[in-house]
Amino acid sequence: MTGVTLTAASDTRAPVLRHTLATQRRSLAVWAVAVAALIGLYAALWPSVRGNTGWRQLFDTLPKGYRALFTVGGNIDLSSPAGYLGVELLAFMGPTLIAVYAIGTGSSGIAGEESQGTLELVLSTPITRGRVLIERFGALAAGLAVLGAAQTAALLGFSAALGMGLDPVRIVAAGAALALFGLFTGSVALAVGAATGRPGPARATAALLAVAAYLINALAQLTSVLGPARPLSPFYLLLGNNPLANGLRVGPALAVAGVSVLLVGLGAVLLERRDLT
Amino acid sequence: MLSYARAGEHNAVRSSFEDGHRSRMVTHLSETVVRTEALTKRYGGTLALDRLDVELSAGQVLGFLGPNGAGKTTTLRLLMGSLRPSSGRAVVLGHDAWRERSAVHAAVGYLPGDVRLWPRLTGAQTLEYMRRLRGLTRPAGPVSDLDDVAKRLGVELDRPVGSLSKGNRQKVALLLALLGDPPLLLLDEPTGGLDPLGQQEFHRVVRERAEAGAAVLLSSHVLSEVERVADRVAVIRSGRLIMLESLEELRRTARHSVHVRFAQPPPPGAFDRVPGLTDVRQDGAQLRCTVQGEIDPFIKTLAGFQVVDLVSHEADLEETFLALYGHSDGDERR
Repeated sequence: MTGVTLTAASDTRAPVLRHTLATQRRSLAVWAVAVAALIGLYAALWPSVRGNTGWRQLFDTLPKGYRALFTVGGNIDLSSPAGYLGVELLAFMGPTLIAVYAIGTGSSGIAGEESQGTLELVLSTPITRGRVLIERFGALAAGLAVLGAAQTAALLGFSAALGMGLDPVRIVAAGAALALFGLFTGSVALAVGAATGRPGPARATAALLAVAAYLINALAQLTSVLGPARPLSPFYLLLGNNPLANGLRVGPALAVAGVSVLLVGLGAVLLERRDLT
Repeated sequence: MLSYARAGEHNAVRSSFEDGHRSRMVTHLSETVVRTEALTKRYGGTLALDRLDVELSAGQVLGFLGPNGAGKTTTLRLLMGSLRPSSGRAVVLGHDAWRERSAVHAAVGYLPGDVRLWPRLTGAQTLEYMRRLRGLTRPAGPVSDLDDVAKRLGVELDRPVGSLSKGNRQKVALLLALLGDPPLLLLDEPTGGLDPLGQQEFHRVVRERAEAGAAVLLSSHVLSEVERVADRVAVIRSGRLIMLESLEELRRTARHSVHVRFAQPPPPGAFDRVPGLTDVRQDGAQLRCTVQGEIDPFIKTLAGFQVVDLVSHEADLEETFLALYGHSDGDERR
């Protein structure tokens, strides 16, 4: 009982946001290190890839559908660091990692706390349901910003260390593109969780949409049937042009961010109206 | 002196609260704190709460008594605005519980029936987080005696909540409910997991809050607990209020199972004419029976024999209700 003070002054700004970030501090650090390590691995392989034309020939012999799945534009440019990392990092591994983080964080935002029973305690205070959701969204965005920054820092560092000569502005663009892809998938999980209170469906819906975004972009290159759907894919909008080589398309990026905010807003309306479980 | 010290974001809540007829320092004992009007909750086809009308005034402890699954938790969660009424409404300090839940929450300390805390936070960290959520910059006024209550209850505030026993977690949750010295306490089965001494101290704390002017709604499925702390009792069964009585009236219908061992077998039929005695089973020097209402005539009769051992315990509520109303839950439903 000694040494416990209940009398110190508290800072009451954004309590949920700060509580969430404080509890996620350690796991977020692990994620950031993992992202940086992945980039380090790819960067370390670059010198051997550059000198090896056999890769390129092997790739060209693969069927077009297979190539579409593993590259963003269906073409592969392994002769430049930006092209190489665009394929290795941004076309699959990076978005997958970020989506896993975002969906986990998003689904735990409302639905996770609700299924653990702690949401009722948070909401027994004067803080509103909408406010909790907004602060959880803020924590998700902050976490993704950290991971985007980790990717940016790692790319800057390894590019300089290994003389890859990547454009710093486009490195930042790639970090932002990845973080925004996470924001979209995380917002879906957060919104579905807010609307239903159930983390399972929240995760499933978000994962389904992430995979659909990925497949629509890939398959639209093979069949004209999916062509019109391609601009609806956040994967295409954010990563379709390899931002590491070509920069971020600002309009589409803002559109994805706007849709994410809208989804969370819709989640807030539904959360406000339903019974807590 | 204000009992609330709120930060900017909750100012709107505070002023609407203070502009109203209530101020913590001036407590009108007759003032209605909680009022439900035909409050009804349906889950699909199941009627969880059926047209409940209850009133609770400042300074009063209302025992909300009923067997498990009777609708107690549903009622408290309706008062908290966690659930939307199917019809009717609940008014807390002049605010609609569903539509104006923020204003209600500013005035309510809530102890959920199933206490779940953040396992990795210590008790002190949990209190700090809840204080921030409440917008309390510092525990001004009576809140600072939370330290005192923590000591009296023997709460371990410096250990992660996940490593505490159920009873100790319950004590932390009770402190959370007292945070900010709210004028209304909603306590759902608050003594579950507490040892008898902890229960006693807890009941004392509740009484003190009531004497300081707080209204307390305490749900329980144990008559003796309600008996100890409540001024009035609402009995609920299958979602319906069956009586809203003073304790005296309820005590008259209370039942005890009694088991007596005698030195010698009493003559057969010795207890046949004792009023309030039912289910009499005499087996040699042993007697088992149920006593309803006043126990005095039975004790007087026992005094005529040499008693070796006497065990009496309160019949559980479901038993009492079955005896009182003679039909099961299913027949009550429509």
